[in-house]
Amino acid sequence: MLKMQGVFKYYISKYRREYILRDIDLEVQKGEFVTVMGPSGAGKSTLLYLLGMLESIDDGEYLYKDIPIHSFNDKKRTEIHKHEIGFVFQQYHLIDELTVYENIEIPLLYKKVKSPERKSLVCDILDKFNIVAKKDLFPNQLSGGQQQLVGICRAIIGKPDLLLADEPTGNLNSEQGLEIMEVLKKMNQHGTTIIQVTHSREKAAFGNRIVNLLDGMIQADQ
Amino acid sequence: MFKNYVKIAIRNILRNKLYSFINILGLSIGITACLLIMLFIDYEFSFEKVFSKADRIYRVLTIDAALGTNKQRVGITMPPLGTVLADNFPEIEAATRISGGRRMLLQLDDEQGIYAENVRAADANFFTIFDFELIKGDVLTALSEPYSVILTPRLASSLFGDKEAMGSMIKIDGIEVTVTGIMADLPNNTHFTFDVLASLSTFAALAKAQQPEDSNRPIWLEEWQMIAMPTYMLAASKADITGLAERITNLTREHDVEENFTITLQALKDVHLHSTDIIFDNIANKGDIKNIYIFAIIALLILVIAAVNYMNLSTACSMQRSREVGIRKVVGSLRSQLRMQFLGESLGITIFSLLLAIPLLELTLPLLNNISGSQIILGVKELQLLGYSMLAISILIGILAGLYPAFVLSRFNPVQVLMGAFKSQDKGILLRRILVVFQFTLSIAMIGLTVIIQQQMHYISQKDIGYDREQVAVFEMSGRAMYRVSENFITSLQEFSGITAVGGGSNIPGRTFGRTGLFPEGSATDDIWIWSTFSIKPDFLSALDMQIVDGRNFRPDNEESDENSVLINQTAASQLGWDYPIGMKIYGDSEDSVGVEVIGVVKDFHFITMHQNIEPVIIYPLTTYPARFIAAKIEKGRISDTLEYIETKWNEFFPDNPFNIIFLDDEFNTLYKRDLNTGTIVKIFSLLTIFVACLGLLGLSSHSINQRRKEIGIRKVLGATTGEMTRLLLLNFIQWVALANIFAIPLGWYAAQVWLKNFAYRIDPGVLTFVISGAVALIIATIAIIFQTVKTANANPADALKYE
Repeated sequence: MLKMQGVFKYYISKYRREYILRDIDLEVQKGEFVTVMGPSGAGKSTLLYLLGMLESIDDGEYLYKDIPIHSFNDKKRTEIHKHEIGFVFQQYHLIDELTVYENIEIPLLYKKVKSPERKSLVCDILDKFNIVAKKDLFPNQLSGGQQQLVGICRAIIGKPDLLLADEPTGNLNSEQGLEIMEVLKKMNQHGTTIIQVTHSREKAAFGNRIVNLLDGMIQADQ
Repeated sequence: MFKNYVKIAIRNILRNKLYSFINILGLSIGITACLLIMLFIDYEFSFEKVFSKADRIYRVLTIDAALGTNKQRVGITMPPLGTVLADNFPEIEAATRISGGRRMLLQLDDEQGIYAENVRAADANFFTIFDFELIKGDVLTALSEPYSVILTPRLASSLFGDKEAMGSMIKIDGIEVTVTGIMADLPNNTHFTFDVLASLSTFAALAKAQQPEDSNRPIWLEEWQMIAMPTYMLAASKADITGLAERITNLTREHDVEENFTITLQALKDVHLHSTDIIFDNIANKGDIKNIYIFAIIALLILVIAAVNYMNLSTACSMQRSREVGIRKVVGSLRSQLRMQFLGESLGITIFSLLLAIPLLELTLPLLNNISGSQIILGVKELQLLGYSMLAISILIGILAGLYPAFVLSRFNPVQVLMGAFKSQDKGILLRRILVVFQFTLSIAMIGLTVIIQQQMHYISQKDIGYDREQVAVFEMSGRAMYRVSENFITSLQEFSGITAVGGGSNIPGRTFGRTGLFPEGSATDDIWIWSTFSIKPDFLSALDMQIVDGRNFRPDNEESDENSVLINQTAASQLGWDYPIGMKIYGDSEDSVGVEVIGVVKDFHFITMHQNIEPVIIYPLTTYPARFIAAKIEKGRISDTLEYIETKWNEFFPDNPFNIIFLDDEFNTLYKRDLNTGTIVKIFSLLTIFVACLGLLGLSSHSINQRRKEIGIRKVLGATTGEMTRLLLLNFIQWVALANIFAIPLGWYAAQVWLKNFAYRIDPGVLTFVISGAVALIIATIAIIFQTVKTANANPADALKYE
């Protein structure tokens, strides 16, 4: 599904290239649950964003569903974000001014889903995650775990086939964290490809493959 | 999706109450100012449009280039010219004349009369050119006979009550005339302001009646050698009038009109706004195109300053929206969609401000009418104009204010925003500073302009005008009945102890003086001198405290001996180069061998406004005719009992005339009404400008202080005092206001020069005025932000640091 070959990512700082990622070769098959691990600053999140096409690669090649991404224009990339990829963040990144319901609804608005269908989709997912009662609350009225559940709802409501999660449980206590991991695992079993970044071996165990990064290079892939 | 945008916009407005308040209030003020000025400009341009032939009507003016004059356009022309225009020029369909106006007494039978403020007389064809409406009477015949008059309904009803006015006889200044028409009240937006219109043939009949029966001298209405009559012409449809004025001038030469007079034409629609330089046209409600420009620019500036507030605050606070932008991008929003969202928000805020501006407008419109003397009402036409301009403003300002924030916000990189790498690196700080400097440059320049206008008005009111206008009461005589006893009235006033001097004159300073051609001794034979003239009783000079600087006044006790003596003013002497004017002769025309002798020189006095240079004046003794104006100087502290005495005497001598008194200082103030109005309007708008600019500064400083809370905390932990912190924070903003001074000084100075050019006598504004204005702006700006600054500087550092 995804294939990176010799990918480099660097920033120019003081006229020097600071490499974040070096010579990355990575292939992810449909249905996999991949965990990217590594110490802080290893380039885990950057790799995730590169895979999600939120950032561009500086060297090498990246094939998304067998198509080189440099052939995509802005519009095509936006289409892919709308329909095929979901993101989950460590800080949840819910919009403070919108209620739970409204936050989850946003992707559907951009997909131009009609109102009645939108309503039933949101209600379905609220029901599935047992947060129907919270639908009119604002993010700051929720616990961290509940906020992350909303974040996941928002990421998957558009039925993406790829879910990218950047330390989804990093800000949660262990009980909430496990709950979230169970959710992800269940989604993977239903066919969603998941790539997550985490520090925790325990959370990594939910996946079926671990990629270790160190100083921007892949150390191990098992 | 739209609902989602609206929700998020409204919740953001509510969350940032201070900033929203600043934005909406500023925009409402700006929009209100803009709409008000727009209505005012529309009103000013609506003048004369009531006449269906307005596009083809021209005013026939004369340029008087004689020596001694200011060589300017004059609102009158040769009296007979109007009668020959249509016959001589195919381009001219018709021409009509209407005399200058004056106040006169209207009387029914022998009852006490009422005053008509502005009685004028017009040719019979007047209504075929100016289509005024007659409520009663026939427009074609109402003015065809001598001794006919048309009245306004107000005058008719106060004279006749319920009785029928049409066809009845009334007396105007003692002359019997027939009412041949009742006209509708004149609309406000025309330069005509008469309330009685008589037939011009009445003047001809009166002039003929005064001549000896066998005289064959032309009456003044047939006299080509003078200019006296306001005249209008109607061009034929599609006529080309280029060069017509020159051809008319050539026609006048055939009637031996002197070379100093040249005819020029002025389109009727230019009369209201382009006539400030024209004298002798008695238009009380003149506007000025320069004021239109000044007001239009000011209104736009306020609006722009308010829009800048929005730009500044929304970009400054964009960090708050960054996460939303990031998320929207991640879930698949196009940049264009985000741009539209933020543009929509600014449009929404503008429209909301617009809604607030409507009641504000209704509240302030009477104020504007009051200040400017306009009578703007919100009729269908005005509402239509408002509708269109509101639409235009909301789109223009919504986009102007929203475009930059929309581009900034939509450009956020989602990865930076969402990974948290996007720390408070506040973008656009430079632009915001430039915009703050821009706002304060305009504000300071406007404050400076305001101060200069006030200084000029102060200069005018304090300048030695050559006569004393305080405590001087003036009485105007009209009609033979009054003239007959006016000498007795003067004597009775002289007897009263509260009156220090009483003198009669043919005119008073500030009113239009007549002018006459003269041949001063020693001037070349082909020199044409035209001087203003004026006749007085000797006591007139003391009543107005006018000074004789050389020679002597007329003798009060032996008037006949001064019959061939005159006074001149200093300008007359200096223009002729007379170092010793006493004893010099001035002749009436080239055949005159007797002439008159200069016996004294009067200190220059401003008998016209300070917009014009003082012209030479010749003052004759008032011997053969009684005085039209009687001026009485009242002793300080004796006003009330003196006025009581005068009124008793008035009623005794003039039982037919309602008591009427003119105060010379009121007269003086009316001369500068337009300038005073301009001053007031500019003052109000400059206050609004600085207010809106300070609102923006308040918002920006509050934002920046919030952002620097941590820094302030750390500095305080390291030992900085509250005073030091306050200084640091204040300086951060005030330095930009200070910088604005540098740009404001030349800008304001230039604007002031443009305005001051209207005055022949004016102040020379120093740069100091603007330095002071800048200092004032600095103080106001400091006050606007000091409270907040001190509060933050004073805060417990632990709070700020824990918070992080």
